[in-house]
Amino acid sequence: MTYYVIFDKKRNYRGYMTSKKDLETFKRQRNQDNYHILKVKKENENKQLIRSIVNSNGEIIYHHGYIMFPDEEEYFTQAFDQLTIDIYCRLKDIIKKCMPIIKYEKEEEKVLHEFLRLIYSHMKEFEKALESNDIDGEDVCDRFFKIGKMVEHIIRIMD
Amino acid sequence: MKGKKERVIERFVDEFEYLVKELENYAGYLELGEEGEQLKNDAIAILKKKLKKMKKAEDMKDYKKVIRVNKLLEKEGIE
Repeated sequence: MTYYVIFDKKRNYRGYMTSKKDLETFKRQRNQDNYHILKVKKENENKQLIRSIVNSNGEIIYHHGYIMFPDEEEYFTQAFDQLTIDIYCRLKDIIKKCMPIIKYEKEEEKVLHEFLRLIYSHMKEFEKALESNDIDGEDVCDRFFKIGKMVEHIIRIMD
Repeated sequence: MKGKKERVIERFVDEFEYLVKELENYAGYLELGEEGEQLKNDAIAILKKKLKKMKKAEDMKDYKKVIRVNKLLEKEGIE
């Protein structure tokens, strides 16, 4: 068995994978200028090194087809929670602070009101769906958000 | 030198620019469907058009074409 151990540019340990296919995906998806890959053969290398790699809890995770390190997955979850809060805040600010001050044509005002209402009801429906136990939480998120696009964004930040 | 009124307006324009960017960014992550996407594009285009006019404004007369200046100043406690 072979471990592909990933370090960043500063030689900080990021995680590991054991499949060559995952390695190829990783090379395709991530900016390779920022990573260093160390190939470790289980049979040949010292047992302590292998044990510390496996115990590091750093095995890569697939998220919507993207390879993520465990800490990135954690960051993604936090960013997602923050996003739902931020959307409401920005909506509130636009509605309360900006809409009454800006001059619009009647048609423009109609479009903007419809749009703001759409986002608000979209978020409310999302919350309702999340509370209901009928559908899996991940499926709910997929139905209401472009999760793949969000994951891609997080990966670009991390790279 | 800029007066109090101009500074209030500039602050409003900056905040509006920030909010439009944020709203566009966040709405981009929502699965809104075909009609919703169209509505989003139309709405963001309107907001950006307003922003462009605000940024191009050179005097109070220009600002008054796109902003209810008196209402804004009143809100900020400036007569």
